[in-house]
Amino acid sequence: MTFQIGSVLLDACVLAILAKEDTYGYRLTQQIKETLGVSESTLYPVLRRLQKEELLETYDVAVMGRNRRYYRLTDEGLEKNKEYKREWVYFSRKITTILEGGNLND
Amino acid sequence: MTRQIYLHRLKEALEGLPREEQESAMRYCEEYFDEAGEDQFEQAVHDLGSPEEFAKGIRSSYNSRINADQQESKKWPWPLILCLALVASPIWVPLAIVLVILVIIFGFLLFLPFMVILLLLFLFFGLAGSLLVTAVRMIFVSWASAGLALGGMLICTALFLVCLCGLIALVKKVWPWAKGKVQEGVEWIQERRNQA
Repeated sequence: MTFQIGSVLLDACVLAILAKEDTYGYRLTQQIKETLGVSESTLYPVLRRLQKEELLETYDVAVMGRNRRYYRLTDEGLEKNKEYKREWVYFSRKITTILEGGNLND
Repeated sequence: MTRQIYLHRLKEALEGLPREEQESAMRYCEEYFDEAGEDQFEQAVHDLGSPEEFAKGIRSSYNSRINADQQESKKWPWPLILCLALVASPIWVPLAIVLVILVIIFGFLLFLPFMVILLLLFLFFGLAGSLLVTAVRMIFVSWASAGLALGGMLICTALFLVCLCGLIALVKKVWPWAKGKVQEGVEWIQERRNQA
């Protein structure tokens, strides 16, 4: 991965993945690890923080004789996801413009 | 490293954090190993990092979260402060009045010597000046009166100079003392601020 991913962008990615469907820690991190190259040790604190900020919540599902902890977005989390998506469109457009040598004021 | 050893070391590394934080992290880790399965265990350990590294990330994230919470709770809303000030006014209004009166009295006492000396300075200066004028006018009328006025003027000038010396001595004495007190006060405030 050439570009470093900041904590806000990581939050946005986690929220976006969970907006699509509820998922559990291992699977979530596998998805994020593949695309973003972020290590697992940084992902757990992110999940924990988002949970504490009440953007996501957990529930347990019994699977093969043990509990699997699923994460899902709260209403607040959904709202935040929308906000991040809007911001990203704006931000990425500006970056693309710069990278392609365009003028930001156009 | 076996799973038991990893979890044991993680538990030790998490010590000192709230129980809920510890349990959540332990549970997450256990589940991660469960999902990875035995054949992927090495990869899972590689993903998570050493137990100490994993705990370090949790710890720093927890600390910054707590700091953010504390800073938020430090911000008191203005309406609440106003309400409290109103409710407590029977206590602090009389106190404030007494304090203001004390400051005025203290200031008055501090400046009293200055004021007396300044008054004497003006008095002797004025007397010397008017006696000089009198002496000049009396020269053509009466030598004796002119001499008397001149003598009085010299006495007043001498007293004026004595008062001037006294004022300078007083200022020299009081100035470093006042400066020291002000500096002490400033340092005290800075110390309090640093402690806070």
